[in-house]
Amino acid sequence: MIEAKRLKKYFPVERGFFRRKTGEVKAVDGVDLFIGKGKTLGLVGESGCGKTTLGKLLLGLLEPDSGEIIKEKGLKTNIVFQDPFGSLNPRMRVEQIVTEGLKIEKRIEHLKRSAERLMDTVELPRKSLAKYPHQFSGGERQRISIARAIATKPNFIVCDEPVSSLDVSIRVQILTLLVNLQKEFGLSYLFIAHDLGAVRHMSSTVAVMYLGKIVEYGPKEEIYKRPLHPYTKSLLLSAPTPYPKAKKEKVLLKGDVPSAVNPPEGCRFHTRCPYAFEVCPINEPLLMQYSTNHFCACHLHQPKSNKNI
Amino acid sequence: MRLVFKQKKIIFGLGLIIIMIALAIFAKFICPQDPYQINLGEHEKLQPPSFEHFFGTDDLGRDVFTRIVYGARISISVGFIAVLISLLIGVLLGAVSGYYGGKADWLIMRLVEIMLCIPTIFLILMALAFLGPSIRNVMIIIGLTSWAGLARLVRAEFLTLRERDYVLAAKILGASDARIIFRHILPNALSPVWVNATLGVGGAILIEAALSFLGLGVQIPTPSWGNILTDGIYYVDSAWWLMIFPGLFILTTVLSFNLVGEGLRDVLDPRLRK
Repeated sequence: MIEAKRLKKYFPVERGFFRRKTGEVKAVDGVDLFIGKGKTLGLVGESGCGKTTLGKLLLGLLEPDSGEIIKEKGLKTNIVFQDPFGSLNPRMRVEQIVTEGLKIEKRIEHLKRSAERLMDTVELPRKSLAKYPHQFSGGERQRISIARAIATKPNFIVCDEPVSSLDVSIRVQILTLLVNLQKEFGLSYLFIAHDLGAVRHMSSTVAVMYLGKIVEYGPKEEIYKRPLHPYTKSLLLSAPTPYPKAKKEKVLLKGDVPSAVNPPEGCRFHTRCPYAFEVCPINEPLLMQYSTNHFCACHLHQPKSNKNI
Repeated sequence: MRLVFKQKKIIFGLGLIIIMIALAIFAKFICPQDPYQINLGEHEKLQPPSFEHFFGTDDLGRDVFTRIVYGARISISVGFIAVLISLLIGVLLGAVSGYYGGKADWLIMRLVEIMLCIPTIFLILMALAFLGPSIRNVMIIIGLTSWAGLARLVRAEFLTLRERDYVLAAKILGASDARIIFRHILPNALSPVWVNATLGVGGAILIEAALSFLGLGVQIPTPSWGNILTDGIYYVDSAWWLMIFPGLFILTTVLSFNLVGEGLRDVLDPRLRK
């Protein structure tokens, strides 16, 4: 459906009057991924690790510096944003917001009926169409955002932390809506999140990202039951779990995320990793296969074979 | 919208502006006298205010109240049309500059800096010297020389708004640049523009008065607040009414536009809201 190969995006850091380039933010640094039809890839990582940049690259909002994106013919993309207050134009009525895509595509017959059907799909009352975004709560706005995203019948949607800014009680409703839409329309999702909680609800496959690189990649069950990378383990530890008594390996992170402008040499995670040893600051670990479709980039583990995703 | 009418500044200023506009529109009914009617009789020239002539008469025996009321037409229309011209130029250039960035932005911003470097009044005087003084030229030239600040303002708004998620969402839907600029960004960028434009009307009226006072604006015998003032300078010690009344009208009008502008700013800028 959609595939990325060795995708890279660096942002130059300019300083001073003459705009000298003093460094680069390696937002996305050689990422491979594949999302099949009707499937969800959960992308997890801390703020600033390049998740959103990766999403924008896949949507074509940014040009990659190198690498390629292979899209299936007829692939139509859209996005649902994190911030339900900044993602809707405050001067437009809901009807204008959700039908804009149709108008741009010149599918202007039955606009009103399409808008009403969209409201039904995202479970909002039809009279919402005449209102302005500020008259809605965060969860309702996110429903409007979803209606806008599905209006033009796309088959791939980037969900950029769609529930992170919502009340916990609302989150499940929005996630359930997204799952139902996926079943109904056969949508593929790139589901971005900063913890593994929401991703568990949504994804079939999970990718863990740290400072521009994917450090672990695999089927949901594998990642949650047998995490390999210390970073994944620490993320799992920080997420609330339905089995609080289950025995868990304690992995506590030291310090903050290092600057993405000059990421650490060797393994980028070694400055915070409690298991780091001699090799880690010197050699950068490659993403290697451990079991069927389970990949990890860490010197602590011995791979079965060295193969790309 | 309801907040707008809770502001005392706005109500007061708007009330005065409406009175001024009403005077300008209904000048004929308010003043039955002819503003050009000359009366050189000994008892008609330079008469102090009386029931017959509210604001007295000038050196040619013309009724000053009538001339001021007719002058309101000129002053207010110059104010609005000049600002309209500067709005058109400023908003368009600011939008292009802020939205596209790059070379266009560089060029427009240098142009803005040049405009802001040269004192406006010199620029206007120079242009009027070439084109010749007339009401139309005054409107156009004030408009052409006062867009720079607006362009900067609009550019700044566009720079922040173009990064908003709803703009990205429109881009993903395949919206054209024009659609994004005019439907998504501009409507959200207009609040500071309205404030600036309202203050601009007051400013333009003041410039027009200054130019007419210097004889470079509206030409006599057409009455404008500026040139009524000029008539008065020879009689400062004997006929005070010739300077006081047009001066008061200029003051009141500019003040009321400034009040409305400031009130709008208080309402539209959430940072100033209490």
